[in-house]
Amino acid sequence: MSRYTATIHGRSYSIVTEEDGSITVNGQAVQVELRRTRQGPLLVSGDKTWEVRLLQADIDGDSINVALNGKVIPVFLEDERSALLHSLQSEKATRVHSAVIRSPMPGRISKLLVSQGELIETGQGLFILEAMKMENEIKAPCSGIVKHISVNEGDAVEKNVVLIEIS
Amino acid sequence: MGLRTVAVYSDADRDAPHVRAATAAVNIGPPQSSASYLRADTIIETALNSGCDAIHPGYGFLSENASFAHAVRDAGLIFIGPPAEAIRSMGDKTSARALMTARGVPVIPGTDGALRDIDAARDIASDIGYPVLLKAAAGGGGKGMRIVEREADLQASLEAARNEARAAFGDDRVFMEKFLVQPLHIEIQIIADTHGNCVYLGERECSIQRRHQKLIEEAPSVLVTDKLRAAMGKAAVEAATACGYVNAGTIEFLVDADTAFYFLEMNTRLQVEHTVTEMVTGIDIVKTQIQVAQGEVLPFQQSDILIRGHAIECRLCAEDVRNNFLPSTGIITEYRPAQGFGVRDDSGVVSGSEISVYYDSMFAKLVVWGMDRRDAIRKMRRALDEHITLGVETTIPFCRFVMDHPAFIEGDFTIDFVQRHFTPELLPQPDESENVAAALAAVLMQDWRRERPENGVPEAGSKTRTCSPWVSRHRKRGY
Repeated sequence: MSRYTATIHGRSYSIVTEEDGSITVNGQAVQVELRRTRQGPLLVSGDKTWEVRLLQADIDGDSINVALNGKVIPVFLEDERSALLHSLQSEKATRVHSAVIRSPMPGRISKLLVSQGELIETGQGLFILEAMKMENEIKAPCSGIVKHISVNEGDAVEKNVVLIEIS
Repeated sequence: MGLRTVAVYSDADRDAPHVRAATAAVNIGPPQSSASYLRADTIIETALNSGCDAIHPGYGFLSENASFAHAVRDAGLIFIGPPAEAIRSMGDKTSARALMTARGVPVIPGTDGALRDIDAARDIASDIGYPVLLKAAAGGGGKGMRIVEREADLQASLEAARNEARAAFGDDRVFMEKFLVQPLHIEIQIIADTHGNCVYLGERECSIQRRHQKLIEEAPSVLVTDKLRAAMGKAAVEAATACGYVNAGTIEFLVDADTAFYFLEMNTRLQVEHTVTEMVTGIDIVKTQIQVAQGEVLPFQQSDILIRGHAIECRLCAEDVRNNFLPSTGIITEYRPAQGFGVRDDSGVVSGSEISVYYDSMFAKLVVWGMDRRDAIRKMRRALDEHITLGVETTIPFCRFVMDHPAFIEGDFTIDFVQRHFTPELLPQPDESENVAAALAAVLMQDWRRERPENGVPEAGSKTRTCSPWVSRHRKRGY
């Protein structure tokens, strides 16, 4: 028996799979089958059939991007052990985790809008990343203090490089 | 038309679909467009070496570059587009303005020349009244463009506009005009031959824009009556003949609430959204461009042009609509265009293509034709749901949002539609049955991976590699 917790847009689903193949969602038995076809896996549940693709989720992700008929749904999936670990972590740890700002794509830092030690608000512009012929403003995902800035104006950066840390 | 074609490509586009579609394809340099697609000399040399008669410049890069058009003709080749002189006089926004004023085509109040300095800018702005719009003289596509609400912001905006203009066009001249609040962007497609004929092919409504970049276009416009169409068409033909125009071109107008229209600029090339005009007129514009370039007489007259049904185009871009339309790069792991009657899914990519940082984020254009506007909207919804692009974020959720929005459906919108109506929070979340299915899919795929780790996951895009049976057999034997 395996127990999972899947969280999608803030809603949690507890899923239990048994050795005999039976499955429950939030304690209710469901009829579901994963069909492996030459065109890729299909999820059949009741009278519905979905094409399933797993996509690589964003950096630092425990989440899986599931595409159903081409529509991408991010699923945060935990098994029993990682769910336990997660519940033991303090909320603070989660917050610090989310405040590492990485470059979303390769480009050039055309302007820094904050300085080290500055108190910032959620949604405040952090820097301008010039990429694909456009100037893109990258905003703070949370409020806090700018702990560290690892780049200078004019620097070329690769994708996923840590640029700013907020705590 | 039975023509043989030679494609050019940069190192980044070695495997692009256009390379395979052409009769032959030639590499013209590294990925940076300045070293490949913008190298006029290399492109002309390539055309000469491969025995081409003509060059079609497409709608990016050198398509509106007068020097390029000139050089192509100097090399003894046909440029499938307007004469260099027409590109030059219309490409320079200031001279275009003067030309239109002289011909009685209405223009928006503003400067007749490029802004000298900040002091001159201040004077003119207070003259015509805020808000004002700063535009690059050599511009297009929203680059080097800034709306200034008050005098305090003028200096910073002027500098920013100049910097962007210099970076994008190598020309930092900027001019100013009055910013019309909530107009519509409506443009007229024209095509002229070398025998003095010029025909307009109706209008395109392009008001669904973000940062002056068009996102969705349609034809005809809900606002344009037969009478207005005829008036705008006449002005457009006047504009084209004023600069000795030949071949396909577009005159962009801003139309205010009282249906007064003002000349905005002329695009002296084929446009991205020419497809909607093709759908409602039945005229293949690119084919006609080639006929005109060969010196043929236009195969139709003004009285032949009928607007039938309704067409909509959604530009599909690799951008994250939930994150400020941030460009999204990566490999397209799976690509499947929409199909069906009246659906045209023009793509520049296939499964496995990479969206790189080098070029524009638009990877496809989804165009539909319907009996009327409602029919076209319904068909677009279906086509957007059917189209699959995985591996990068796309603007499909945004397009779907627009197709479902009451203001769009009712035709009750202006150029500020996106600003006024769109926030990512309004995008629909998956419903309960989709959530459960996604959760189950994640679990079952995870279980499957554990059961058969040697097989990995059969999908493209997963980091788990599936290795060939020959390789694994080799490994098991211990070679």
